[in-house]
Order: sequence, then C-alpha cells, then structure tokens
Amino acid sequence: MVVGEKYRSKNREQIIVEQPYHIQYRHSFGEVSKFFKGLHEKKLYGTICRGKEHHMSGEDNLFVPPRADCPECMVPLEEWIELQNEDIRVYTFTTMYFSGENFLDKLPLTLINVEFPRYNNNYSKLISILITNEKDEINIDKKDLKIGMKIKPKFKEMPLEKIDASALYFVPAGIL
Amino acid sequence: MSVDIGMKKDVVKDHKKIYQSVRKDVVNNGREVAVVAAGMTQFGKARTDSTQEELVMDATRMALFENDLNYDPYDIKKMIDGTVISYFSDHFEKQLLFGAIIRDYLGLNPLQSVRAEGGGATGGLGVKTGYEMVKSGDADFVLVAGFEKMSEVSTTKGNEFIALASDTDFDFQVGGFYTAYYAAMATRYIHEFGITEKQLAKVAVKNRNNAQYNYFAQTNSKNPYSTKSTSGFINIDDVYKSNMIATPLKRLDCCLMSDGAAVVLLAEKNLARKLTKDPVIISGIGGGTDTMRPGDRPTTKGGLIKENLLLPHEKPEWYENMSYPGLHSFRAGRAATKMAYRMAGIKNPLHDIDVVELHDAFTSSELQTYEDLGLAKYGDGGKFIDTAEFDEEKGVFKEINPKMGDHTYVNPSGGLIGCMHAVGATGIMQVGNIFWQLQKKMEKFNDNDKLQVKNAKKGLAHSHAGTGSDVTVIVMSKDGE
Repeated sequence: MVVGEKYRSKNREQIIVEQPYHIQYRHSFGEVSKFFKGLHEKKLYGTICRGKEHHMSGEDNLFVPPRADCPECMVPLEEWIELQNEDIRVYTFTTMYFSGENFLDKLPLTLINVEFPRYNNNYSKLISILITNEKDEINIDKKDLKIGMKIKPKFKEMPLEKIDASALYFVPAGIL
Repeated sequence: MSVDIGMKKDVVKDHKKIYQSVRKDVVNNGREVAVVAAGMTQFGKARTDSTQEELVMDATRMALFENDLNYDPYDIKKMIDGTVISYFSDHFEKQLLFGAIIRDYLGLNPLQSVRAEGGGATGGLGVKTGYEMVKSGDADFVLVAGFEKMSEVSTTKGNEFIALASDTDFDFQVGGFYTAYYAAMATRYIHEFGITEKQLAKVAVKNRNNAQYNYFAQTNSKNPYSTKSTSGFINIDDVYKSNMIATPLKRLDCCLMSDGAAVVLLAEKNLARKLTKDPVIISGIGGGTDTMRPGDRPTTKGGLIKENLLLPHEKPEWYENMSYPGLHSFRAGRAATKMAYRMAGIKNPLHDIDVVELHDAFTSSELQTYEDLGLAKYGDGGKFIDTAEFDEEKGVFKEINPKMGDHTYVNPSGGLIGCMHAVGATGIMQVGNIFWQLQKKMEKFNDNDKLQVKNAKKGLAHSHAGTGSDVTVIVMSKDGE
C-alpha cells in the first residue's frame, strides 16, 4: 500500500452548508485623498520628491500612484503635479479573458501599466485599464496595442463618496 | 516643509561595517538546523471530506509515523517544544486565530507557537520561522504545519480573495486578478528578452507531466481528489490550445488552486542525528522583499550591481547596462538567493545544486526564477529550459523530470502547476519534497522512482509571494555534504 493511503479519510459522509458573509468598509485614502478627488474632477495627479541627492537614481522621484512620503528620503511630500496632459505611454499590457468576480461582466478587458517618459518613472508605472473602443467599452486585442503606445487618461463619472481607482482609464492618444 | 535627514555619509558607510561584524557574531552561535521528517496530504481542488485541522493531522501523522525515525513516534511527539502554523488567507478560511484550533487538534498545547504569513511565500516563511526558533535556541524541535482550503468559495471569488493581496487602493480596483498582473509582467519580460511562447509552454508540459508520478499531486489522474478536466498527461499542443486567461498566459500556464496541508519537523542538528540516521541540514536560508505594486520597483541602470545582488559566479559586465529591477524582475528572489548562497557557500548553483523546487505560479515566473537563482543569466531563462531534451514530434520532454544544464532538475513534484498551490502549505510541500529527494525516499512516498533525482546531495526550495513581494530560499544538504 502506498504510504499516503493510510492517511486518506475513509469517512465519506459530508454536510456542506451555505454561509453568506457581507462587509461594508468605511475606508480613508488618507494623505493621498487628493488623487481620488482629482479623478472626480477629471485630473490625474502625482506627487513628486525633489530630494534627488538621496535617490538611488540621482533624479527627482515621481509617484503615480501618489505617495505622501518618499521611501528614499523619508520626507513628507506636499508637491502635487497634474499629469493629464503629459506624454503617457503603455509600459506593458495584458488582455484579460478571465478575472475576479467584480470584472467578469467587463471581459475581455485590457490591463496596462503606464509610464511617464518625461519623468524619472521609477515608482510610477500605475496599473490601469485601456479602453480601445469607447462606444461599447469592449476591449479587443488590436494590432496597434503595443509597448510604447501613446495614451491619454479619461475619467468615469463616479460619486465622490464611492470613488475608487477605476474612475481612471486610458484610451489610445489617437482616439477622441 | 523640508526635513533635515541628519544622516552623514560616513555614518552610512560605517553602518555596513558594523552590520557585517555584528552579523558574523550572531550567526556563529554554534547551532545548526536539520529537517528530520515530512508529511503531506493528497491535494485536491476541493477536499470537502476533511476540515483544515483534519488535513493537518493527516500530514502530521505521516511526518511522525512514516519517516523512519529512531524512536517511538509518541515519544518523539513529546520532544516537540514549539510550533509554527502557516496559512495565508483569513478570507478563504473564514477563521481567525486558526493556529489555536490546529495546535489543539494536534495535542501540541501549551507549547510556544506563532503564525507565519506572507502571501504565496507563507509556507517558506513558516519553515524560515521554525528555523529561526531552533537556530536561536528558543526551541530544539519544532513542528511547522501549513494548510489552505481555497474551495469554500467560487473560483472567481477565490481569484478576488487572492487579489486582495495586491494593493487594494490602486491595483485591485482595476483588475482584481493576479494572473493579469503576472501576464503584464510576462508581456514586458518577453519584450525585454525575446522569450517564446514555446519556452513558456515547455514549463507547463514538464511540471504537469512530472506530477503524474507524484502521489500527492492534484493533477495526477490517479489521485481520487483530482478532477477529470484538470488531470492527466499533456503535450505542448494542449498548452497552446488551452483557454486564454490573460495574454500571453493560457489556462495551462497557470498554477492550481488547492486544498491540503503539509508538515515538516525541524530539529537542532545534534538532536536531529539522534532522531534519524539521515537528517537533512538547512545549510543556507535567506529572505528577500520587494514592492507590493510591481510598477513601483525602482529601476536604475546597473541596479543589480549597485544593490550588491551579484551572485559569486556572475560577472559585473553581464549586468552593467541592464536596468534593474524591472517591472518584470523578482528582486526579492535575488536577495533571498544571495543570502542563502552566502550562508551555504554555494559558488555556482549550476554545479552545486542538484534539485530545485521553485514557485512556478505561472510558466513565465518559473523562467524568471531560473535567473534569480543564478541557473541562467538574466534574459536566458528560456534558453535554460531548452537545455532539456524535447521530443518535437510528440511535444513532450524525452524523459519525465528532464535534466536541465549538466545536472539540475527543477520541480520534480510538478510544482504549483502540476502538484498544488494550497497557499499556506506550498512552501512546506517544497521543503518536504527536497527532504525526501535527499533522503532518496521519493519511491517510498510515490510508489514509483520516476521523480527521484539520483545521487542528489544538495537541493533548494524557493517560496514566493505576490508579484514578488516576499521570497524565501532554503538550501538543504545531506548531512556531511
């Protein structure tokens, strides 16, 4: 007998029940709340740290997602910059045909990491959605979907008390 | 507002010197740690026949009763003086403080105990925590148990629970799916280094087919807990034809979701030599970390050298111009590897290590991990799997558990793609497999010797979390090697 056979349960009787579990969280975005307020106002904000003498890259650090403190200088960051009109590119991408529960009705969906080539992009390859066809919001694998593609941010109407990062998405810079 | 950092450059330089001298004293406390036993359950998509504590009991019984220990198992159990219980997700288990239930069920109260948790690396961190208890002298003989039951919610809800281990303010809200995060990393990895679809698919073929000889594996069609649609042998066309999940990763490129448990017993070396004729020494152990969001990895030209992450056999000129860490880099894996190799005295892993169990969450991450472990240069992970002999006509490797490089075997168990990923148990399953490999007991536990690496003297277990946020690397050696 295989060793493991000795330890396999012989008891075949099983009772399986349904147990629902719902939670509502009251979540604060803390010191980067301005980023989310910005999405509500159709603006894309990042924070910037100019303490470059302490940065491994020797350059200013741009943070998108924003950080309220620089991990290299440990300095609180209070300078916010608007980025919605900047040069923004696809750094990498994937088209999802399966997902977690919340996104099943939106598939297929293209997920991207974005980059801001004008800045030191070390900490700033934000994850977002790329919509290639605004009309029906259906994403398709397109030949022109590629690394380095120029894109621009768009903003979904979302009440401020329910805002989250999905209020931001991107479209190819050539569209609209 | 500006803050005066107040840290002078010479203080920073001194810090390194002080650290090194202090560390030397701390490490050399004369205690070494060995693995003396391992046990695990058969893994399945849904082990509805047992609760978590019942699964851990099965694995513990196997560890105590089936590892040819020198004393009565009941006497050996009484020698245990500490436990580590590792499980990943409070959401999957819907039970906080589960360790209390497990310890009670195993009859191991009132011993000291701690939960280890770090996403996918939970099991590896469990073993590392147990190692630390023994190494420090807080304990001499520790039981490390890990488990997970992921089947009590739907697969899509499970994907969502796993994605709660991504940044829930920024990443979770726009994707909510780990495969997509890895797929985006894979797209960039392919862009940087020209990895091919075939090289990715080969990983799936190797690991899934190895698993057919692993008694415990979820995809082994002989396992009563296997499911028909996700078990049995595959060839490369099966991988190509499997459903696209997130480009470029298809269903068969992805790891499993599993229920099950695994246990190892760790003892101080002198005690270990009394408990078993064949202890396996933990000769090197390391941990590493990186950003939660893969997009935040602060890349610089030559970053690998600047961060002092070269391995002994690597040359600075290989990486002087490479930007590191990229979004696709597992810097945590490299940091853990460097630490473990330094401790174990590994000069070149291709020569020194015979068998590896690594965290193949996806086929792409197995290739990336070859590079972090120094089995291939960065960018050459695909070429490393190409060193194994492949039957182009049949679309499978010429041998089960194929040799790579001169004498390296990777994921004989089938890994996370073929064997299991019951998260809290995974890193412990890997250490258990390397332990049995070095003890030459693969035949005993699998009832066939297909997966036994002949003359294996040194092995390595690699446990990995998130998109590379936490990694442990554990080098294990036969006693006296």
